[in-house]
Amino acid sequence: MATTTQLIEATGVPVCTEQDFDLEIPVLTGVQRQGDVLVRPAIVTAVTAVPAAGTPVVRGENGGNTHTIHAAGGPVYCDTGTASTRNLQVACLSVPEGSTAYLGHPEHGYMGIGPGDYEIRRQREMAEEMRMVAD
Amino acid sequence: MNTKRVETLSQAQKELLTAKRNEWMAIGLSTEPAGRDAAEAAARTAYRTAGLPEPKIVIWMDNPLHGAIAQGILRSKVGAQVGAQVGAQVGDQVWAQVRDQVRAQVWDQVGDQVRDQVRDQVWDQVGDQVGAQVWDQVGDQVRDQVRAQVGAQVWDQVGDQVGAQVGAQVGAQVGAQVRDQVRAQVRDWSSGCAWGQHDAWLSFYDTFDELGIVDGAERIRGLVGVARNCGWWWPLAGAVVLCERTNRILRDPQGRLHCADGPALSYPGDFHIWCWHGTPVPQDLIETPWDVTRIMAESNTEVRRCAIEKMGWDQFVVAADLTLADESDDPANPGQKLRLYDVPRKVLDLPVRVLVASNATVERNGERHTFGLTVPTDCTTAMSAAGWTFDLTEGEYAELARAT
Repeated sequence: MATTTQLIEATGVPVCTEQDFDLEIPVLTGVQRQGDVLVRPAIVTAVTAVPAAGTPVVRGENGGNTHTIHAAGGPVYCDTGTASTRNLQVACLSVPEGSTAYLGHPEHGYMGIGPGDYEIRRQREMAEEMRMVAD
Repeated sequence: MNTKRVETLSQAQKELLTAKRNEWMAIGLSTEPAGRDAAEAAARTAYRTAGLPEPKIVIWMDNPLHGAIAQGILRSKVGAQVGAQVGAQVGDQVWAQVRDQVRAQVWDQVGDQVRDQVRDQVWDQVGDQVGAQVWDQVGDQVRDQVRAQVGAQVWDQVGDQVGAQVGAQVGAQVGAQVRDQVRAQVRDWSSGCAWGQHDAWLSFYDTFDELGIVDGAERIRGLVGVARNCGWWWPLAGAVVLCERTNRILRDPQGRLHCADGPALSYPGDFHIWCWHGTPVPQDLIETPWDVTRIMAESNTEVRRCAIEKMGWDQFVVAADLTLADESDDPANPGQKLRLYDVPRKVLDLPVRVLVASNATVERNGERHTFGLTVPTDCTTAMSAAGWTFDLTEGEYAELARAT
């Protein structure tokens, strides 16, 4: 388990909102939400190893605010794709026993994801047609 | 000329693609004053490449709107009359092409600037627009050379990694917005121009030129040189009008023009575009926010939606007295609620409801950001609406163990 301070140091991604930086971040294996990004157990297998710099799963174009998966304690696997309004999945994630994945974002902080397989989804809303939500 | 096609790029060449993309993004988003000497020299090169005599008259204008008017004045050869009375003396045909939005004052101002720069030069010889030779023909020639000398895979790689990205960000998000604004005021007079820094298509051919794998790609250099150094420009026979670059450009994380408290894009000379997440909006929507009455009086649905988002859905539902359809606790967001409201059809011209929710994370200043998400009307509960936004059932969403 790690604190926000430790993760900022390990990843170089700062957090700019109100958090208790010294609180141990809970590592959960259920459904979790980080802003407009949802992590949910699923029957999937990811094969692409997450590099030291992390795997971006949802990017901000103009230099802003990317949701990134980081590996801790061992390897983590994350395959990324592109969401559409019919299929909101942006990535699948596999965390082997002994490893922890952290989903980090400069405004939302870090979220701990324990061993298991997951899908990562983006949020949508209704306009003249459906569209993806921009965080 | 090479008769054998280049079918693959080396590793070093592939790395160049990223550098070229970044380089052309920076060109497209530059807010530096134009490099005037370099732009003029490059324009002359472009004329020579097109087989045309170099322009004797060079005019600099602050922004594309003034540029469009200046080239119109030059082409209509009313040089001797340019001045305070120019609005009255310009022939009906010429004046009729310019909409009422361009006030006589702007016209006179531009006319004065043109006259100051032309001075004693003879501009009876200024002829028509020559864009067709300067870029169409040259562009076509370079394109044909590239097509003949590189294989499909390489064409696609450069297209995907350079051309398409610069095109999407600079061309579509920025250049097209400027074009729309200028065209709205001067209609046909906005044509016959190149977009200079916003000419995203040049990134594609400039990349082939730098890769050095295509004979003939160097013919693009005059056009590239202008794009590197200034904004919009109009080549005429005997004269060229060049414009300054943007001096302000603000975008949201998706790369769309956006600013919540001022213009999103400006040029010198008082040319501004106010934008909300990529939608051009009136100045007062941004700078003196609209109340519910003004919002509902707006006839453009997109603009209306922008105004509501600026006010905030949480404020709008109260101000517009919308009916609360359902309310529940927000899972994993202690103390916060999910509220689902009916949205009358006339608000967004759509059958929707709006889910008002709050961030699970508080800002540094203690504020908690509240927002609205529009959902289909068949979401009957707040929880099912929240689930719909992630394509989950109500029950699946209620299992949320943590939210940040």
